[in-house]
Amino acid sequence: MPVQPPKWAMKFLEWTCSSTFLDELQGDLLELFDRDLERVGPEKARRRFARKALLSPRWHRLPKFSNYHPVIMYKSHFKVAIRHALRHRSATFIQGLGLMLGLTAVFFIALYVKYESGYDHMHENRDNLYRVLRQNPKDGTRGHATSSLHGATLKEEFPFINLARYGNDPVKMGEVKPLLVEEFYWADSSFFQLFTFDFIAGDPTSCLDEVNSLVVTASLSRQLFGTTNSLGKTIPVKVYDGNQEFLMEVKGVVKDLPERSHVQFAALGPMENAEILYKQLLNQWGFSWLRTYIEVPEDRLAEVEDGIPRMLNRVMGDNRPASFGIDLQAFNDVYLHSQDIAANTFRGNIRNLKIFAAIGLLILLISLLNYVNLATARAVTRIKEVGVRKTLGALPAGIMGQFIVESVLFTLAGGVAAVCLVVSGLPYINNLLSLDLSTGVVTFWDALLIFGSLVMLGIITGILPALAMAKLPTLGDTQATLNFKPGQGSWTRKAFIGIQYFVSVGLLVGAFAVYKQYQYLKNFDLGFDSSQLVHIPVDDRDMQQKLSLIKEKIKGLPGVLGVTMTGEDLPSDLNNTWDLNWNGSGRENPLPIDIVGVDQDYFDLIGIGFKDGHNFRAGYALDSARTVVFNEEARKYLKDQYQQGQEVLINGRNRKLIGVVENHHNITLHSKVVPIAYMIFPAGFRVSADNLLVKVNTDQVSSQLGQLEEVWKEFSGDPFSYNFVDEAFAQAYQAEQRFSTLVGIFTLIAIAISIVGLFGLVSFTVQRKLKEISIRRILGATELQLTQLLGKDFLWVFILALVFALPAAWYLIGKWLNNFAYSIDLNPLMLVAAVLICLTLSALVIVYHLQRTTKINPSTILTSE
Amino acid sequence: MKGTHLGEFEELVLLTVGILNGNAYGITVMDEIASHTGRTASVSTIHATLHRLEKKGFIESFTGGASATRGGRSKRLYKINQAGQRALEKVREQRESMWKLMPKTSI
Repeated sequence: MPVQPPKWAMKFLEWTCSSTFLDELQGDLLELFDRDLERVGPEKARRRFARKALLSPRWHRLPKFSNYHPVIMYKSHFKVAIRHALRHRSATFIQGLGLMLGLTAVFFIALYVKYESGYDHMHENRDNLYRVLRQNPKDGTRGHATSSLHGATLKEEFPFINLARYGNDPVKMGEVKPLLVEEFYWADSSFFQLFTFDFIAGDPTSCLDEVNSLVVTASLSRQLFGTTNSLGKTIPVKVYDGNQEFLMEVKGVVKDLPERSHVQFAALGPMENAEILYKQLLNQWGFSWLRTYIEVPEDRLAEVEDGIPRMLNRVMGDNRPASFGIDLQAFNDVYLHSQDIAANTFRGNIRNLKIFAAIGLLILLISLLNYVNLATARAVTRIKEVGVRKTLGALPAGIMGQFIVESVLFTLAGGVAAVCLVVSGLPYINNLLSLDLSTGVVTFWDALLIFGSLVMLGIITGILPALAMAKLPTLGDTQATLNFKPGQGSWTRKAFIGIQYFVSVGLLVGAFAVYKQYQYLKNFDLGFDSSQLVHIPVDDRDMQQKLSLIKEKIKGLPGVLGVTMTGEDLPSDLNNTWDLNWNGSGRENPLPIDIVGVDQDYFDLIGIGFKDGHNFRAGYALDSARTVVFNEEARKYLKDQYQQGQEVLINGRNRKLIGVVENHHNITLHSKVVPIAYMIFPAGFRVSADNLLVKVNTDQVSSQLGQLEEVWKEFSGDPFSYNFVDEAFAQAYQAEQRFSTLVGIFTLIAIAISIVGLFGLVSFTVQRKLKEISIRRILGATELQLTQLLGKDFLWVFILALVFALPAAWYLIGKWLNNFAYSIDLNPLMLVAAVLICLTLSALVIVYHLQRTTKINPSTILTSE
Repeated sequence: MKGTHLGEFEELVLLTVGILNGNAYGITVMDEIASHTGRTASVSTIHATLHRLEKKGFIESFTGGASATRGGRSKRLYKINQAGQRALEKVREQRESMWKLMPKTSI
């Protein structure tokens, strides 16, 4: 068999060349192909043929659509579409409403997903950056706080990596009226090599090289100096947590940081200063105050990952606790994939994002099905028009073109309306959900993509009605016209309604479950009395020394029911985990236990009782320093070896276990109650009390807060800050609340779309069966019987949808609830409620339409033709 | 008459069709132009020009015999007609009369 030119190229020629010229073109190209075969061989000949074929299209020989003049016909299509839409206003409204609601929801979700997934894109090296995490190899728990040694050791072991660490230290800046800057960090000089921020002034590579240099954001610079042009200016900086003061010089001014960077700061100082401040602490693995990031060349990542256990063994040797490990997290994962990391504050949550994306697709699906359904049903009203067109010579392709153009016009209009709704509604939604979405993330290409997708959707949704109309018989063929019932009883229509019911019921059950879970977390019995509790943080080391004094002062205030000092606020992060041993347990195998510094008033004040033993004794300071109280969870460690008064070893020091208190949730319900040891510490330790909890009388809260502030002012020049413990707990579930609200809104939209769709369909069914209904009424059918007649079709579809929707919802929601440490049990009542709601709404729609028809005298209907 | 002006490339193709005397189709025209002027034009470009010349009424086309080398496809052969001949002569006369006016010394 001789060598042939590429088949696809021949096909391409047939596609792009009208038959008049095809022989000439193909023949000439084949002749050249034969010539090439001899001259340059088969390979090249085939390639040349393909190129010539691809370059062959010429205007004069493109295939023409006979009998169809696109431009004129489109103009006519537009005109007819608009006239038709206006003539049937209510139907147009219903059809448009469903589409617009669906598109609005989808646009909003798309915006949300785009916004949330676009974090940290400004950092040029992001693909090679990793966050260093503490990891407990035993249970896999991770934390983002690291010590100085983490980074330093990594850099020593793997000299080819780039290292940047930064650690928070609130400072006061300025002389006359010092400004408290909470977002101040000590940072490595390589900070701006890893992270990309825009500089207004200064050199990113060297701005943190020298001791006492300072980098500020533009807005902080304006606050401090009244200008962003502050390069070279000096300012006294007092470290809030200590008594040191530095005179620092501005070496760099950066533009205000982009919102969507998870690395945030107001000002940076060089790590050298921190070394002056915290000399002793920097050599301890346990002093975790930094966030550590490394940049690793792509080809050496495996080397680093494999080398970390070896490095830890080399550096720490036998002293390495079993719970000590290091994990690397890809920089791009930090914002969205950090829910499991202790004290994570990022809103990003990949799981919720995926759920929203899924809901968005479902809503899009049902609003499109709905649209197609209504469009097909509406086609009935066009029978005569299409018949006339056909009689006048319109071909099926022309009729299809007309309906597709109409559909595209409709989706585009719906899209424009949806965009307007999203843009105008965004501020309210941001407010409602405490989000900060903005349409600024939408690029020109996104807009183009949306436009393209809308046109595509219009074409896809237009195809079914278009096909139905194209099959329509020519006017005058009476018999065929009578038999023609577009969409009636067709399985597609039923399947579409079924899918809408499926989605609506499923989402409704989901929304119930999510809301219940949120309420459950919010109203959970925490095991202690969180009402009327005011929490006052004391960050100043100086003041911590005087804490007992302040406590006594506050105790004396009228309306104060009690005061206690504690090392942890409520809800707490619990970031002091120590080692526990006792006689029966091996020394080399310590168990982790969380330490909470308290005083003897703590348990009484927050209302937790003793299961066994007794409280610390007041007034016996020496005695208290050698005793400890466990919670029930910690007692479980000891099992049957527990004895009241036994000695336990905590971080190598003997303590007498004098009592056991009830478990209570001092951390949020995202994690289970952990083993805790309560101890009394004198001031000056990391675990020492640095918070006051005050129980107040609710009647006079505002005056009491005023009095508390007065006492505070006696001891400190810092602003008085406080919060209520119950509010703080409620706030911890803000993410759940937001999720619940969003799911609720989208469920409402989905149901609204489905009901609007049902409304439209029933109205067409009623119109078509108008005569049947009238005859039945004359013969004495009751309204109930008529409802049954109309509802029968829908009911079967509904039941079938339930068969699929309920198990699916049950399974998926169960999976979702598994992510919580404490979750509700799935209640069959939720399913029943969802089913009843959908059923009632559907019945209402049918009854409404019947009511409208029964108002008309049947004879009027039957006599009109 | 509208659109009877001869473009430069059209003139070349028309001339070639005349030279080939009844044996002109895409490939022979392409080869002939290449051998006389060294210009390489794609066969599709030649087709387009031939089509244009035919529309202007300078050449006429007829279906030629099929041959095995063309995969059984027939040729479309072109032949210059009187109008084409006249148009070519007119161009030539114009050129010659202008050449006569060219001063000998100009370089």
